Amino acid sequence: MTPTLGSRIAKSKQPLTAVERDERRHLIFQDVVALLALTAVSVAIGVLTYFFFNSFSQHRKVLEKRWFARGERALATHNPQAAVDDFRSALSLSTANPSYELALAEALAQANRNAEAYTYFFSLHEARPGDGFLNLQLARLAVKREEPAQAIEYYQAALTGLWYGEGASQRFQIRLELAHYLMSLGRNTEAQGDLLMAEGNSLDHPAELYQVGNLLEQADDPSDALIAYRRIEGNPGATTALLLNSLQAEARVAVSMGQYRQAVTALNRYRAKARQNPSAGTAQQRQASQQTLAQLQRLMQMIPFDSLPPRERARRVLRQAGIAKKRYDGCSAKIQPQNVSASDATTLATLATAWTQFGHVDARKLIGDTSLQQGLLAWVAQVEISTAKLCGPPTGDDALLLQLARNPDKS
Amino acid sequence: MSDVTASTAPSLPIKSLGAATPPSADATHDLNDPEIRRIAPTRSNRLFLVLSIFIGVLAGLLVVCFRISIEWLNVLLLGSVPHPGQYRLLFAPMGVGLIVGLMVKYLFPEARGSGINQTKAALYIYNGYISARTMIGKFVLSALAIGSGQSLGPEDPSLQIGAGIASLIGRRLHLSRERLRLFAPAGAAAGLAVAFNAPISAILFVIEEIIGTWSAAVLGSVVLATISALVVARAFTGPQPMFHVPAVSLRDERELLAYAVLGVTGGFASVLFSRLLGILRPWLRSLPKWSQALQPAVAGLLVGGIGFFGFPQVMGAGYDTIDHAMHGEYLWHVLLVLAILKIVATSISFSSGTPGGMFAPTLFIGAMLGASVGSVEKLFFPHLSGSVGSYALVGMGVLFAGFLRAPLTSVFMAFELSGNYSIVVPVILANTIAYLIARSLQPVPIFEELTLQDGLVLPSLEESREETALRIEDAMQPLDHQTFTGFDLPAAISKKLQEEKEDIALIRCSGNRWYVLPASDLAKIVGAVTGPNQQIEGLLPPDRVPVLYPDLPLNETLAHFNRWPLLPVVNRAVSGLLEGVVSQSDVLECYESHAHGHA
Repeated sequence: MTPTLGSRIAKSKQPLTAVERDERRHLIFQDVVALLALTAVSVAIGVLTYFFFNSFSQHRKVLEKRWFARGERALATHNPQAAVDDFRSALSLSTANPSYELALAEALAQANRNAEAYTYFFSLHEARPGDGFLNLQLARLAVKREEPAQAIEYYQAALTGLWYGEGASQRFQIRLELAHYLMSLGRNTEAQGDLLMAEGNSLDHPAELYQVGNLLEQADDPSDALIAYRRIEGNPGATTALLLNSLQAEARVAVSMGQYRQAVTALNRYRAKARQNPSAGTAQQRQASQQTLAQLQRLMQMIPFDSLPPRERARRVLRQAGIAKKRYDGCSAKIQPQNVSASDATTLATLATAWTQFGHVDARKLIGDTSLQQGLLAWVAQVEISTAKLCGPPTGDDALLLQLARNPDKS
Repeated sequence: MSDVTASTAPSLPIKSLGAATPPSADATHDLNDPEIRRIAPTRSNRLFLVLSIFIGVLAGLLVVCFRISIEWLNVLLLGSVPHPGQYRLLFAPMGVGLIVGLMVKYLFPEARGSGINQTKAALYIYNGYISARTMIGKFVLSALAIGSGQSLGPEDPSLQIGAGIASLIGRRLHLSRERLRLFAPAGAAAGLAVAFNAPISAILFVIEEIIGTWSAAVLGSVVLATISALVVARAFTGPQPMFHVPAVSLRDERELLAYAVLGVTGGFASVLFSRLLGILRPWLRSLPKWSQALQPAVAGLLVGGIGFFGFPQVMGAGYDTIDHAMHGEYLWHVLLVLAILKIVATSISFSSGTPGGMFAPTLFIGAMLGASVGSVEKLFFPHLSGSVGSYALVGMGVLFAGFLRAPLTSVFMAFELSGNYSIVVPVILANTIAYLIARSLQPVPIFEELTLQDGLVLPSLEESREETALRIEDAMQPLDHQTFTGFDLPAAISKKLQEEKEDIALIRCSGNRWYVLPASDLAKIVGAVTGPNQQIEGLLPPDRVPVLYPDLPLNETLAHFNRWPLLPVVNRAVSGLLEGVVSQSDVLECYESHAHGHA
């Protein structure tokens, strides 16, 4: 007969008998033995698992290092596609290894597989957003993907990011790269700002100053470029070759700015320095500088400086006018009327008409008449510019006058 | 999925369990369950929790060994990085397939299939019994099969290995049948959690697909076992997630349309996969019995052929390829081809009876499909902010929901694999779409279909989820009976009942509890009245009608009709306020009409 619920409840509330206490002790003993046995089995399997796991881990490390080394050799031999496959193999054996991922990402970027490279770099960037190198790589990829806003953002992050080792030098190069990129976008003003910052951080590094100067020239900021070149001269760390290059560059910029006296000064310093150091600079450079100096010196003889005596000034103006008139006559005789556009024909006619006004001017009339001098000089400039367009680039003194027309003297 | 057919199953009742006799009647141990409960009332619960931890630890260790075995075999048989054109891609899976086929036929017949349905069968048919031989066979043969390149995954076998160790421990400790049935899911969840490195998904999957319900006891054991397993496993493998998922973000809500397209695509792909399995597996099983030992070898040759001729990515579990797809390393058409080839390869491998699971191939197909759809969408809509990786991740969830029909698990799996909450909305949207499409085109889930092919009838947990639960309010009738209070006099109650020609009085007693008094009992009470002012409450027996609310399950009424002819149903907000009444005939009628409605 099945005990009723009530009787079962009643029985359970009764104290244990001696036999039941013995049974409980036996049960507890059995359970303890079972749990100890389980513990022993767990430990044994744990030890086996440890050795088994380690054996494979060691083997896998060997394999992944082998593949990684292969990838590095492939990169070194400029075979990024093979490097991608090798790094990918290494990564498949060791997932989530940041250095392998980085290597793979670089190889992908070199192989121009930009989308994949971007994904890898981006995922690394998520883990290390302040890493300068990662930001730089992302910036370069954004440039390739034609995403200027992203690219500039990453460049800025690279500049402020963490760099190990030569951070200052890295940041300098990044600034130049950013400036180059901004110039390619036509954003010269922003590029100038970055270049000036780079210049400010490079006062003790003449080679870097020279790079900055070059880029400032390209960014249409010749005045700051000039300053950068001049800073190199007084820098004790500047090598002779660098100094010579900077003096040449200074002269070039000065000419473009119409500062011919400064250009001449720079070239004279170049000549003196080159004589002191015959091994520095190439023969070609010396010859080019010599020619430029000769031309500038000749030009200086033609420019009617305000500081000159009035008679000399008038003489120079007349001389320029004579050269220009010869040029005009020669060009007019050469061109065919049917090959000239209406506007060019009008220009020539205007010049001819103006010459009738200037044609009878002599030195006596010019002395003291500044406005006449200015008018004649303007006519000369117009002649040289127009004839250069119609009859090809001039040579000799005409070339010098054309230079002067395009970059009036400001020294 | 199971070859644990009715003809090969351990026979009931308990004789086929590891012990020679039922656990509660062991020859060396005279105590039965009631006796144990008397002398050690808390033993069962404490032992249960402690054993859950041991199950977790052992399951964790075994699954780690299992995974390492697969890795070793993979490297030894296929090389560290397989490439097309390598002859080992043909010979390794074919040769190992031959060994596996013979071992399955002659040594470990119950090791066939993935392990999910075997575990369910163990739970529902064999009282949680999984033999040690099955567990060992599953371990060895699945490792061989997957390691040699068959297109199968290790997660399902890990689930069965975990359930197997739980069953073994439970039998050795002579636990009751009820406890054995609870331990199997705990071991299963532990094994799956280690395989996925995703504990929440594992627990949810076991609840969603294996046991179908949860109680405090089950949940406690499952969680303890899972945590123990994961702690042990992560001591070896580390805490990093299974896939290295790139950052996932959703910046514009209109992008959800893109994910919806993925859901539609995934839904149809799930149906295709299910149909292919539904055709191929029965056909292969209908072939002569002697050929079944050779089928894994032929499957290995075919899958190896796919790898040899250009796509070694479809061999094995394919985790590396999923990782690569998430990083956008393939073009969209390559991804699509990989998805299709994986469907074919997995169908071949699985249908041949090779032991191994379908989780990893499902994730693979989903990832390839998702990445492919994402890549195509980005071609037409480059401004979409979601990366290819995010589409691959959602794609994995889509196939999980559409093919395996585990929608809740698929959503949490996306979190656990990516660690990114922002993907939740696309995942839910795409998964729901895929689930609904798959369900409408393929009403029978794949697990159930495979079980039916094996001649077993296991409960369909998807169907049980979809069933509408009957509640008391579905059978409740309006109050049409006289109600009285405990202060009323018996004679007055009797007179009222006679006037109204009713035979039941509902009496509201103290504490807002009700008493249902039939007229026949009232007559006896009236006869027993000793004084003119004796109130009815003092004359009633002490018990009262149980408190029932309209929203409670209808089956809660069934236990009370022996005592009460009618059950009042009260309001939850106002204590004692009657909403209606329900009788036994009302309940039976409600069940009957519900059954007819579903037929």
